[in-house]
Amino acid sequence: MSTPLPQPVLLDPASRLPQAEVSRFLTLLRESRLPETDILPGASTGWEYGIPLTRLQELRTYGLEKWNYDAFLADISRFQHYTVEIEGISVHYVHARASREGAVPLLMTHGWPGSFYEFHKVVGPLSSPSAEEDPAFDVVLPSLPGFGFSGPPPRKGWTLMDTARVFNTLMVDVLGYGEYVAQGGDWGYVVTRALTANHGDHCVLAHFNNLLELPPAYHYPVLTAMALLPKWAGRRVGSTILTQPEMDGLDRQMQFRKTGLGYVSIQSTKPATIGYALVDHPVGLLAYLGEKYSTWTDPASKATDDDVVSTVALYFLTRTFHTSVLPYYETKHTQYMYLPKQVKGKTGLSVFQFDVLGAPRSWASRVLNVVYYKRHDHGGHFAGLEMPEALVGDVREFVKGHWGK
Amino acid sequence: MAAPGDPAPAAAPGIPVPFKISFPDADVGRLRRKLADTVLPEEIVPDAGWEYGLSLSTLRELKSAWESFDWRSAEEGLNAYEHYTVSIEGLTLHYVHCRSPRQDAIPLLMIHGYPSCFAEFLPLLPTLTEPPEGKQAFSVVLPSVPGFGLSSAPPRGWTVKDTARVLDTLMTGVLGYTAYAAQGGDWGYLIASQLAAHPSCLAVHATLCVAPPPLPIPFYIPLYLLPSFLSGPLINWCFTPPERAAFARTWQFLKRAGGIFPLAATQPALIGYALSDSPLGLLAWVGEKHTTPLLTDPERPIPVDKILTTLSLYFFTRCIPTAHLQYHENASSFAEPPARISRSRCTLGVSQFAHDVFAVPERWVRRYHTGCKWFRRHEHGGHFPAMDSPEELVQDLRDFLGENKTLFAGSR
Repeated sequence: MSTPLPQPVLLDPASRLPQAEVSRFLTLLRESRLPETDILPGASTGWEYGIPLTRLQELRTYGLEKWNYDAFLADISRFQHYTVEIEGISVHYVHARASREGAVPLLMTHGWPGSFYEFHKVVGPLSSPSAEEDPAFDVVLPSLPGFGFSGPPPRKGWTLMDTARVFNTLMVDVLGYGEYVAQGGDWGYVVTRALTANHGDHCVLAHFNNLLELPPAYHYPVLTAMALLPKWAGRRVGSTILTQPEMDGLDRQMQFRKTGLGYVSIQSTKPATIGYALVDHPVGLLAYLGEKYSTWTDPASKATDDDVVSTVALYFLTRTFHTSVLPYYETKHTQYMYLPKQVKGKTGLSVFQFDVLGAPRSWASRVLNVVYYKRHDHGGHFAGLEMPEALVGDVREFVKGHWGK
Repeated sequence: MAAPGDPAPAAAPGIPVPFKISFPDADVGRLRRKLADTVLPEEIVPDAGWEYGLSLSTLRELKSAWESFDWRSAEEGLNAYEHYTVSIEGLTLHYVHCRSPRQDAIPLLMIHGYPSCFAEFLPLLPTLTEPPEGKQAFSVVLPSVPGFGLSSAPPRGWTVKDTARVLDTLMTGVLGYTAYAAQGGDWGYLIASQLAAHPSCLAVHATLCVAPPPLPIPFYIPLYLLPSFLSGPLINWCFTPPERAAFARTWQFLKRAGGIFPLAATQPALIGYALSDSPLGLLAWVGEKHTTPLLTDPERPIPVDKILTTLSLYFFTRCIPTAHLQYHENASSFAEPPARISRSRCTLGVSQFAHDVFAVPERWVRRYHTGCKWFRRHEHGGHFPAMDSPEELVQDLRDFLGENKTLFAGSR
């Protein structure tokens, strides 16, 4: 290192969430007129047209009657927040140092429409385990550029691979962790995957709670047959390469692709249009972001209304919705699905049954050294919120088995 | 959907009830306050321009203009024409009707698209209904499509065929015209192309016509993948110069635009509710469509007051969720070939404006729609020719329908 890096600066979250802005958030929430009737009579009985009006009303009511800013602020203030300038971006991160010596450094990266707050239930247990035999972690939770308390990408063409490089700099050069574990899902999976591919010297273990990968070449004929045959026959053929739960997961993904990807179309072509339209509109964010917390999750999900409203409040108060959709425009799947294989380092993969993203083990193994694979019958896309104990348990198990080996 | 300011439902099915548009002072004041309270974001990335979608400087200008927009004066302008509502098949349909004093006037139904409204055609009414001596006159009907503005929202499963049927009932059953012409672009064209199947609709004029290519699309991909010394001669052989420009525009559309289509077609309530009751949402979502280089002629920007009239109507009538229903309810039909306007059914005339969202080469249109008797391409103008090229549009209507006036002899 020839040039000294800027030092991290302690950040008081309250300074980014002023009371006046919170009041404005609640006032806008109260004064917005929701539609008086469903888009169509009876549309509220289901999710066919998008978020039901009744669900939106529930979230709004929660925000006005139950959500408590002081409690939210206290929750996020349990841990230390910092910002540090890297490559022109003010990178925010939570740094929860472990309660004991010999801690394992753990970088956890969120996605969209998530935030560092997605991990608020797991940070404590990971950094301060109650059981002596469980590993303790120094947890580093950044906000992606353009999200939360991080500054926006500094230029056009900023991809998640650039973000991975910045996060690696954070871990290695700023925080001094020569080797670390990286964990991620959603865009966090892309960042983590880029770390395995481009920064394998430092990112020695990688854990994913979802990912998209391409099948090995020899799977294609079987997959084609599965697509063409009636389901019972397709499943028989498919069982030669995939397990039943893996095939269930693929079915779920296919269904999702048919009706659930509209947001990708607009965000990947006109991020500014949708971004500017909703950035200053709390009810709009409740609808647009809140819907994902219902449709991408286990129906028995433990992602609460409080989690959803707090996340929306964070997006609104930090005025980051428009920059949050940038990755859809800037990072193309042609970039991240063709990264070099993981050479050094090992991978653990946890799959949650109700997630809308999830690769079969064999597909992940094509490009990653998968040494740990766990499938859960419950949980969905937001593992940290929905299944915090499972996520913590899996990360501990994976790391215990493979760190330092 | 019903909103304050709507007239009471029509007295009986089929009897038009006249009314004046008048939104309450409270609503007008509320819009003003919400606009004043809106905080615009920073630019999404430095120097984004139009690359990332809506340009922030355009958004700022439009917002400022809306803040000083005089709605009451615009409302007065709208009320200079005759507005009615009529109950048809349980829906409340709003329309403007302007009957020409000329004996040989052709009845003309002009249908708006998305995200527009009836008001885009209003300035054309005087010259259409009472043209200079010797020019073809028209009696004009401007409906609000169900789900937009002052018309009520449609029930589940309502397609463009249903809208067409209701509009045909309006022209024939309610207004008593025995024959008429239908005009439209965007969704207005899709509705008009269904009207072609109704016996009383004798002609369709399209400003954005849809026709599939003669060969399946994959055959055309090599034209854009081959190096230009090979593809150049091929393209010259396939297309005339205006057709080449049209195809290039369409190719650009297929690659870049269409962003809202999948979202509106799969989750209209998601985007609809998210934009509800939000002036900023309308400025960005609807305003973008009126200002983007993908749809507009840079030399003919849409007059700002017309954009603001549309935005205000959308805000006061709270129609943004139901305005997206068309995409969802008609989604399955997009997998099928578009409605064909055949010689035996209807006469088709097409005016193509070079800066529209896409443009179908003339030969493809004539080949597919055997009823196409008239085609004119304009090197200026975009997606909203009634607003950016009114003289050309009027001239085209006079030329195309005037040529075919004998179809309408005897209709009143």
